[in-house]
Amino acid sequence: MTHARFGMGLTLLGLLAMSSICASADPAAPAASVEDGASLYARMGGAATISAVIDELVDHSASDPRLKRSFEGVDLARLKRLLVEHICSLTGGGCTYSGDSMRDVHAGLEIDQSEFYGLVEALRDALRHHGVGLSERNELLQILAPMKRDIVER
Amino acid sequence: MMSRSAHIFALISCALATAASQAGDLSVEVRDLQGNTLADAVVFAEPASEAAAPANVKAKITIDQVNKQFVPRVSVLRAGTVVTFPNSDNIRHSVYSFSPAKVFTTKLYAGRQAEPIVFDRSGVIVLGCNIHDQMLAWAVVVDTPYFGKSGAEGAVTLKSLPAGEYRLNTWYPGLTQPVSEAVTIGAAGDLQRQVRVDASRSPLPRAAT
Repeated sequence: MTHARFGMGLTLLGLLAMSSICASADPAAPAASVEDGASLYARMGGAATISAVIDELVDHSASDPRLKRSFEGVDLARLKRLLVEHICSLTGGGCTYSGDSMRDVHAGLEIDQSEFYGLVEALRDALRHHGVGLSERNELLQILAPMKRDIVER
Repeated sequence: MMSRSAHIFALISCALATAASQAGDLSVEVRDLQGNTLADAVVFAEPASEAAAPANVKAKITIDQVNKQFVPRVSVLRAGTVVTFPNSDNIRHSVYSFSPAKVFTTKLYAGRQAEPIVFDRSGVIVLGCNIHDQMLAWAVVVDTPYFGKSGAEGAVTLKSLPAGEYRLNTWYPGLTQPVSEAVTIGAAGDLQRQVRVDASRSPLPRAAT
């Protein structure tokens, strides 16, 4: 367990480092399917799993003293709905994301590095809690990592 | 012989003097049913006769966003007024109304001024924010130039109403309809009224009295 967690941390750091080098990476690009052809969305467990993951992620983030600042006064039900939709659209689930760009969404919130990584950590935990496998977790984080440059302001 | 222009001037002076003497201020004090004075109550007087032509309204007001709240929470404005949402918060808001008098959504992004919106029909417009669901404000759009909002002591004065009959309306957040009564501004001029409204269903926070 400790070993897996450590390995995951290294992988994530690697992915984030890679994304900052590959600045042309497009966060909106659809996820590549693996050999069996099933979308990442389906392999993660589809709508039921993603909804449960986002529920846990948002509820945790809105109550965690290190993260809740940015969620105060926010309509969490709407946020959850848009997060599910966004992840669905990015992982081949066939949704169309109807929200704003990550830059517009986060502008002025002054999210710092530790808040960003705190939320990534919470997402990893939520994915694990709902049975999403290691390779799927890595694939999802790889898709999301390039968003850091639009989210972190300081 | 009096020149034609002097004659007209005399007539106009006379008319103005008469009008000035037949106008009055309408002072209203608004209290809730328990007798506490109510700030932020909207008061407007509509002439009983539809004599006044619709004005070419060029008024502008702002409804700001400060610390994830609307400022002011209650506005009263004449139909045709241009409403600006400056967004003093340096974060995103998404202001909307589902009220029949004006249905709209406007996204306010950090550091970008959104297009103003004309509130062109009378009625109560309830404003919310899609992103911050505790944000709530009311804009009461009226068809008369005689309107105001009560201050801290519940008092508001509508100035220089021409003599005549009016419907005096008082509205407070939580009311579905204004409280109305007929009033007459006579040759005697100024008039005082006390109005009681039911504030028990208002979501508006009130200072302890």
